Amino acid sequence: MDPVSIVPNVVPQIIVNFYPIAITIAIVTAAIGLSGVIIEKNDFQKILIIQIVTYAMLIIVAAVGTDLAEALILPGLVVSLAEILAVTEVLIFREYTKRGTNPPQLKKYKPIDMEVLKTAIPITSLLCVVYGTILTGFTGGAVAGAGILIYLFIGEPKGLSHDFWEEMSGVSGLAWCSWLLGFLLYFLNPRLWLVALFMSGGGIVIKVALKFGLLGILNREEFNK
Amino acid sequence: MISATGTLPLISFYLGLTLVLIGSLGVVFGPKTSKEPIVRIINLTVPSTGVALIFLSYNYTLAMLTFLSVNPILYIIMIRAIIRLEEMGGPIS
Repeated sequence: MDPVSIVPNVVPQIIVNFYPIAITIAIVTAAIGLSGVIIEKNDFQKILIIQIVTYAMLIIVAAVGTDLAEALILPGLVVSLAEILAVTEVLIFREYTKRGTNPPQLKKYKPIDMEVLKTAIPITSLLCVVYGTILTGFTGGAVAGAGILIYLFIGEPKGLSHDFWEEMSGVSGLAWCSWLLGFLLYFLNPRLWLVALFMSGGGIVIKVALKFGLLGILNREEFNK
Repeated sequence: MISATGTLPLISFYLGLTLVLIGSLGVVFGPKTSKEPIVRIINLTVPSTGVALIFLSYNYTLAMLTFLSVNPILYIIMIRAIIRLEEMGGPIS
């Protein structure tokens, strides 16, 4: 069977032509990286070389050329970041235990003292939130979340108690559920695509915005008392 | 004539693949890399630029933006680990 015939017609020809080249180069890159892992003896150097294998994985996922690939790349990036952070932390603490010394205490954090955070007008945050709500989706959530962050960094929030932000984290979880249900609806009943689109788009905008806001409230409560 | 739909994706795709190949060779077998981990991190910027160019040729806006913003955080984490290990006189190379 001709391998091109299983590709849907909506995929552009240029991406179909890219596919074998990208896969070949990615496998060669992964082979180079893994040979480096075999040659190198030091643990920390191995972590640096493993990054090459991560890049090869990203190219293989990207070669699919649809929106699904983009959706798979984002978690891959975040997971690789978390993995590097965890492994370097383990290496450092192993070194401490080898030497029999206690790890040093964390230094006291000092919040940023910038003039622009005191003199900026609070309406900027409102503008960001409104514009982010109009945008919707992941990008809109980031813009709206930046608006909430600005509001938390400049001036004192009036009329918003600690319980309010606790409830907001609950709303964030509910929005996440609505995002998941929206995606499920696409597969269960594709005729309801408009409802599913609004559920998932609205869910993700609320979730991302509130996650950014939670970062701000954590900063305020931990360090800025 | 360079067109935004025909030629530019080709240029960025093949340039990105070349950068990934040469950069990965440089990271693994480059000079002085086995003694100085900082040289290895600097060499790592070459294949990461290649991957960003490949994302560009496939029109992955969000993936490219996230990749570009994750990379500096990665370098910060690695350099912090190098500093911590060297302060203790640990085995870096």
